[in-house]
Amino acid sequence: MMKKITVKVNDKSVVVPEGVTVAAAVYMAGETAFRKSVSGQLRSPVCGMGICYECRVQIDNQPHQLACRQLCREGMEIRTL
Amino acid sequence: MTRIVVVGAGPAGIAAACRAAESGAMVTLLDGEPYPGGGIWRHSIDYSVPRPVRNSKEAKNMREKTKISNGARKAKRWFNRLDKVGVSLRTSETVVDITGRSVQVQREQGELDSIAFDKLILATGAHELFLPFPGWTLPNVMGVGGAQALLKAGMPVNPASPRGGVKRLRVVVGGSGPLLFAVAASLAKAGAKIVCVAEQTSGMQLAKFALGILRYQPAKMVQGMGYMLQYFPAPYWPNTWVKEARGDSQVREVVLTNGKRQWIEPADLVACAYGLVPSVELAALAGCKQENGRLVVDNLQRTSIEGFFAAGEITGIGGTDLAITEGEIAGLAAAGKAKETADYTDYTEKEKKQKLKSVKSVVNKLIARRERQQKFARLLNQSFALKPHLKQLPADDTIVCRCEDVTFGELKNQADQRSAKLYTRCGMGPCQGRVCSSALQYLLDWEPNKVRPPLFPTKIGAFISNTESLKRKAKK
Ligand SMILES: Cc1cc2nc3c(=O)[nH]c(=O)nc-3n(C[C@H](O)[C@H](O)[C@H](O)COP(=O)(O)OP(=O)(O)OC[C@H]3O[C@@H](n4cnc5c(N)ncnc54)[C@H](O)[C@@H]3O)c2cc1C
Ligand code: FES
Repeated sequence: MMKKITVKVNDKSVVVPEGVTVAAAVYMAGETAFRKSVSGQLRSPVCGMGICYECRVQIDNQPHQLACRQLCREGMEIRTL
Repeated sequence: MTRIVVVGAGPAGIAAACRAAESGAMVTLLDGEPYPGGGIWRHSIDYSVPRPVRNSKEAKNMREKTKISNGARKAKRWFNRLDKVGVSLRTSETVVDITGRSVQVQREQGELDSIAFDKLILATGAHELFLPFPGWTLPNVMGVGGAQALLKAGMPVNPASPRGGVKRLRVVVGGSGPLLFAVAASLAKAGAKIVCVAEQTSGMQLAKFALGILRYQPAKMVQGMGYMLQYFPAPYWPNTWVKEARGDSQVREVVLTNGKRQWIEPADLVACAYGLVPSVELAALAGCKQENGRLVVDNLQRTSIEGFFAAGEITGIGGTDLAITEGEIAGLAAAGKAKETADYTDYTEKEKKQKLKSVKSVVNKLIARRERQQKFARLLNQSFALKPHLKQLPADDTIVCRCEDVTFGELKNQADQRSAKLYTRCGMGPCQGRVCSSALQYLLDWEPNKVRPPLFPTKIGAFISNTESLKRKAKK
């Protein structure tokens, strides 16, 4: 059995398999928009590999973290937009 | 002992690291991703792709228990080899600069470190070419490899529906290249409903490509057919491209066209990209010579800078097998194991062939293999060459620079990338032009901008936390 961990996405608890990225957890929480662009448009991941910077979210109070490049850790608090 | 640093743990970097370490060098293999594997062997959350994870017995057990698919067998072989030779593998470490004979790396939390080397192997691979079209900035419009990478990292494509049951996402796959097949198959396997695959190249080119595959790599044909079966009965349309994506808080439908007529298909997710472009930024920063967006290397994968080697898709797009072969050659050459092989750069084709036949060595065998694989690479690039009408994809109000929200209308009258940067902030955002600059090179035939260190923005969050911890220290 794969180990499960719990993270929070916009205050909602989500149980995810260990080893998934923050981006995956955001999708699992049912969100599709990750950030707002400089002109206020909704955006979501494009490249999946740390190139485009469209997957930026807030992780444990740190803004502008790449969701596609960080793995979920138990108790992590993720915030979109 | 020769200290070798390999940047990029894709197939090319892994092969290079193995060969160099097996030849007695002290090798450090770096990758910015949390897992090694690069574009194709990236970790997969269902563990269908094996992965060495640093200091974790559990992961090793998991790997041994995993059923390995055909395609992943090669990956497993290389990962095992990597485990065995004792390469120092460091993931979540991005190289942001090269100064003299050391690389500057940035860790996940933003800390910087420096690693000295005697020889450097650049295997930074490739990234996708995204061409802007109306609506491409909507949530759930992403790249093709991007969709693959996100899927492997755990993105669900058949999430629980709010009304109960599961909701299979309807996916339109578009753009160009053989990756479209593979990714449509993976998405279908994961539970998505493929609406269609829209390939910009013509049926004629595809037929030529298929014949070429039969000639050079028949096994690939079988693989391709397998992919098609997986997403059957979705149609595969040549000479078709995504003209527009429409939606509200996310994409809902796409407008497809074949140049003559256009039609609408429903879509909850769009995976669209126009092939790959070599990731040469780091090499450019170091001053390695490039040509047509690719790194220039000689017969032994040496770049224009003494002691710097390059392998894999940084030297041109050619698929995994070619990347591995190039990596092996670079690894041997960097470790000084290719001395018996003369530099054939100045030889004629005929002389080269004779020489390769007469001197029997591992390197020569690999060089001969590389020549064969390069034929396939050429065929690949010809078959999926972009049609000129794609230059008309963006409308005036289509955003090209996604970081600074600069539109095509604002850019098309600028003289070049430099003035665009100056007057519109295009390419000034955190992606540092990786997305828009490649697009503009194609759309407006612009030259790429000069690369400046650090290669990736130093993490703003980490920066803040550093200053905060300093403040805390000061208070105490
Ligand atoms: C997103 C994506 C998905 C793909 N999916 C498939 C697929 O499903 N099937 C298939 O057949 N082919 C796929 N490909 C193509 C495949 O990746 C290539 O054919 C092959 O892997 C090239 O190998 P490589 O070693 O040259 O480069 P890559 O595999 O691209 O590896 C390069 C590595 O270098 C790392 N890197 C780059 N810059 C730095 C830096 N500055 N510091 C540290 N590390 C760095 C990257 O993180 C990456 O892991 C995909 C490509 C991409 C871009
Ligand atoms: S999805 Fe592009 S950087 Fe994360």
